[in-house]
Parts: sequence; C-alpha cells; structure tokens
Amino acid sequence: MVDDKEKSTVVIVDDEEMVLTSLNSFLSLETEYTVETFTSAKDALEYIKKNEIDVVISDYLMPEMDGISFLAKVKEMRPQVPRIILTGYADKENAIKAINDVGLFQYIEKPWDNDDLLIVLRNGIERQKLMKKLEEKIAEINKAYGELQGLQTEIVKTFI
Amino acid sequence: MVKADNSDLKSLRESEEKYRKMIEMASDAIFSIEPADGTILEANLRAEKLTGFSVDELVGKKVWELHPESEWEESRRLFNQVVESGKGYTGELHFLRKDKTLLDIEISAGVINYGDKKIIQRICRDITSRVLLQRENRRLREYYEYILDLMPVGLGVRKNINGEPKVEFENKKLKEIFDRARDEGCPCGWEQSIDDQRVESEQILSEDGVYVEERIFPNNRVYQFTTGYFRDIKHNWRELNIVQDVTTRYRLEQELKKANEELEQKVEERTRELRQKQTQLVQAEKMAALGNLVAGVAHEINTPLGALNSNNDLFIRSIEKLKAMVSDSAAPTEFRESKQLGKLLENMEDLTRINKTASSRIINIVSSLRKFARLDQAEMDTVNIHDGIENTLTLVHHQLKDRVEVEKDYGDLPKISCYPNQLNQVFMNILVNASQAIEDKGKIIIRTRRQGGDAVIEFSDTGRGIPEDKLERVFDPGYTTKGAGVGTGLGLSIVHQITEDHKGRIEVESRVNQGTTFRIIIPIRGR
Repeated sequence: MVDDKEKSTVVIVDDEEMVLTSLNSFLSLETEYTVETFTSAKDALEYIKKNEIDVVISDYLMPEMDGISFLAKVKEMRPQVPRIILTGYADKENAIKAINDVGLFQYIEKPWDNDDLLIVLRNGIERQKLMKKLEEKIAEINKAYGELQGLQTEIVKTFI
Repeated sequence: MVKADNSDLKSLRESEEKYRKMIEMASDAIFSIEPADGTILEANLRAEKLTGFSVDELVGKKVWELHPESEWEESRRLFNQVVESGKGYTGELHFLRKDKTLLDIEISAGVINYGDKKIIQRICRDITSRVLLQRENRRLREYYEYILDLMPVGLGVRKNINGEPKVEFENKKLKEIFDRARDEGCPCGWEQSIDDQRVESEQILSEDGVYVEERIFPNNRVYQFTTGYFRDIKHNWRELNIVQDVTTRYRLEQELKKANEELEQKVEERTRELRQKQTQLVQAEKMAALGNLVAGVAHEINTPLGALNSNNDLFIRSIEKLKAMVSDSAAPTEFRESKQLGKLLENMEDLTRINKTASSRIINIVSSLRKFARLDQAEMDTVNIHDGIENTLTLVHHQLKDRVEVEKDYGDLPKISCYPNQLNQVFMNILVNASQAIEDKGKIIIRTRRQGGDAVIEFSDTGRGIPEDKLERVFDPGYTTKGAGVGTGLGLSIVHQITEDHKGRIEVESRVNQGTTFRIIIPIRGR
C-alpha cells in the first residue's frame, strides 16, 4: 500500500464554477487531498509549472483551450502525472480518440458518479505514487550500485 | 257523202271550218291518214315545223316514212294496230326530219269517222325538252351515284312504307361493308332493322335529328352510323345512313386509352415511390436535426445535472456523517437527545433520497434520448433489440404512465445487425400509435422471439382497432385517422419503409374495439 499520509494534490479544471465547487466539496468531505480548482486552463498550467501535483482532471469542452490540448501540455511538463478527462456526451467520440493520442489515464462521463470518480482518482494517485516510489527505488539502487562500484574500485586498488 | 239540207250543210261546213282552224292552230303535228295503206292525206302547219317538210311534200307519203327506217316497222305495227282494233294508242318514236336530224316525238293515234269514211288521225308531239330533261336527270343520277360510289364511306337511303323500311339506295361501299360482314359470319344488312344488328353501341353525338353511333358488331368490327332524316318532295320520310368501318380507329383508340391508363398508373406509382422517398428523406433529415439537437441538449444538461447529482450525493454523505457525529458518545447530550435534530436529519435524508431518485430519472431520460438519437450509429451495427425497446419505452413513458400497462414477454434473441436508430424509430412510432389507440386504460404487450433466421417483434394493444377496409391503407404515406394536427400520417409508412430497408416485413392484424397487433419480422443477419 502506498503511504496515504502524504497529502496528494489534485488539480481540477472546468470552465463551469458549479462543477469545480461540487467536486471540491466532495473531495474535501471524503478525502484528505489538497484540491486546486481552475476555471482557466492557462492558470492551471501556471500552477502545475511551479508545484508538484499528483493527478489532474480536466473538462473537455472549454472556451480558451480544450481539455485535450491542456492535458497534452501537462504531459510535457509532468509526464508521470495521471490525466483524467471529464466529458459530456457530444464529445465522447473525440475524447476517446484523445485518450489514445495523448495517453490519458481515464475518462469520466458527465453526469458522473461520485464513487466512480473517487475510485478513478484513487487509482490514479496510487499509480502516481507507485511510479514515484519506483523511481526513488531505482535511484537508490543506482546510487547503491555506484557506491558498490566505488567500493569495488577501492578494493581493487588496495590489492594492486 | 249524205245529203243534207242547206242549213245542215251550212252548219256542217262551219263546224268543219272550226275543226280545221283548230287543227291548224294546234301545237302538235296532226296527220290525217288513209287507213288502207297509211298514206298521209292531210297535215297541219305544226307538222311542217316538226318534220321540216311542207304540207305538199308530206301529203302522199306513207306515215311511217316520217321516221328513221329502223322505226318503220314499229310505226307500221302501231298503225295497223289502230286500224284493226279501232283503239287509240300512244308511243314514243322519232321523226327523221328533212334535214336528216332526229326529233323526239310522242305519238297518239285514233280513228275518226269522217262522214261514213274512216280516217286515222295521228297526233305527234315534240317531246325533245322532256326527253332532254329525262336524259339530264338520268345523267345527273348516274353522276351522283358515281360520286357516291367513289365515297370511302357507306351511304344508304331507306324509305318507310307502311312501317316497313325499304332500301331506296345504297352505294358501292355500303354494299361492300354488308358483304364483308356477311362473309365474316355476321348477318347484317338492310333486311334487318339496323337496331337489331346493334351489339354494343355508344351514342356519341345527337343534335337536330342527326345521330352518330358507334356499334360493335358480332364480327368484332366497329361501325360508325351517322343517321339523319329528311322529307322528299312528297313529304315522305327518308332515312339517310352513313356507315363507316372505324374498327382500326376504334382499336387504336382503345390501345391509346389502355396505354394512357398504364401511363397514368405508372405515373401514379412513381409519384407514390417518390413521395415515399421524399418522406423518408424528410424524416431522415428531421431525425438528423433532432439527433443533433438532442446531443447538444444532452451535453448542455449533463454539466448542471452532474453538479446537481454530485451535490445531492454529497448531501447524503454529509447527513450520514452528521448522524454519526450526533449519535457519537462524544457528542453533547442535547444534540444526542434532541428530537428536533433527529427529525430534521430524517427529513433531510428523505428529501435527498427523493432527489437522488429524481436526478437518476433525469439521467436515465437524457441517456435514453441520446441513445435513441444515436448519431454515432447511423451505420449498421449489431445490437440487442431489447435495449432499443427499453430506451424507447423510457421516452414514451409520459404517454403511457398509469393509463397504459406495458407487459413484456421477451424471448431469447441474439444481437441483430441493423440500423439501431431506425429500428428505435419503428418502435417509437408503433408505441405512440398504440398508446393513442387506447382511449382510456389499456395494455400494450411486447413480445419478441426467434423464428428461424428472423427476429419477430410484436406489439399488441387493447385499443380501438382498425376497421378492415382501412387496414390495407395504414402503410400509405399521408394516410391518417387521427385528424389534423394529431398525426402526420407518415408514421406507419416510415415504419414500413424502415422494415423493408432491413429486408424484413411488417404485418398488421386488427379487430375493431379489441386491439391491433403489429408484427415486425427482420432477419437477424441483416442484409
């Protein structure tokens, strides 16, 4: 199990305030996540550039920048972060296509079910944490391996 | 000569004088002839004129010598006849005049007692003008008969004698027509009344006593009779018939009529097809527009609906937590024991539960709507028919409600390859019709089953039914029994068309006041 004590940060982007408020309230009631909400994709990108995040949820149809373009930019910045898209019906086809193109973690259809949303979110965060852990382990192993090699060299030197 | 006294003699002379004058003045040639040998004894002035001979030249000639030699015998015979019988006679002969020209004359003769002597008197009248007239008449008649014979139509005149029609004239063509009819085994002609020969007739014109009729005779020929009536000089009625063999024209007309009818039928058929195609096109267009609209509306609704639904869920969770907090042993006693708070929480729970039901119903409707419109599935797909029926039922729910009970008897049907949105429309149209056919309360039974390679979907209602005479028209485009404003009359024609597009068929059974069953049979494998 991933250590849940560490606070996860969830970024939510939707041009509709009501969706943001609803999701924010729900997550603050049911989880310990830090929730950051944005009605503008640009503002969200600014935030993500400067802060570590664990998962990002975005609406698909937004006036300035659509969800797919936004998540593509997030992928560039933070490839490890799971990306979830929230879609209405009319754009479902395109959204599914985008999952393959941009590499999305999951899509959620409006109107969403809170439990489903929570499961998707948890899975995403867990994956993100696991990846992070894996990276750390690899780094540790690499470091240990480097140390081991240094030690080996020392040993060899001593014998020569 | 008998002896007579002076006064007698005088009066005799006077009468003889008078008689001579009359003879001299007569407009006919008068000859006195010796009965014994035919010698001319006397002749009047007119005789000079008619014969060209002078009286002196005439006297002494034999009377037959005035005629051309070829007539001498006849003249002599006539003369002898008078002499022998003593009776008068008349006849027509010629004078061979002095200048060798011929003159038509009429001869009358008789015996006159001249004192005790018998004298033959011959009166000859110039009948040149009469003969000429007769000849001219004959010539004219021949001329007209020749013209009438040349006419390409049969022409005949009948007169009525004591109620019996009698033929007065028929031209060559009419004889030909009758002969031909006889040859072809159809006895016809003037012997019978024309009315008797009529087999089938069509009076096509009648004005001022002229009748035009076309009659089909048993030899399958068609004759046109133009019949008119006129009076002759003696005011006797004559019937004039102009008869024409119009068989060829008649047949052509019949053929033309038939061709025309066929053409009209074809035009009607094409028009109906066109109308059907047009209906379909319009309907497809409508469906596409509706689909777009529905998709757009569904999208627009889903965001606020998502928020509402999520918020309600949030309330439910919050109340749950609140209840837990209140009943926790750590909570203040006044909270734990407050009946008001308990009641409030219970109310909130009830209301949010209703909200949840309400919002899931909205979610369901929106979902059915967009599935019904299925813009993404305008193409062939393999689907579960029962899902389509269920989606459609959700949409017509408002029409059925508590009024119409829906009974489902779904059989084991595999997925069917079809156009799902079109089939949904079929279900929709039939269900709406069924619900409209049920006046008060009733039932719709939906049965599905597999029948060989076909899927059978049956919709039965307990509505008012369709009368038998209207049953065959229910699939005609534009046919409606619902009255203006209620139905377009296109519903079932579209149903029919869609079923045909699926290589299937639709059957309808109905009983008035008992209900109607529509049975859709479509192949499972599609086309």
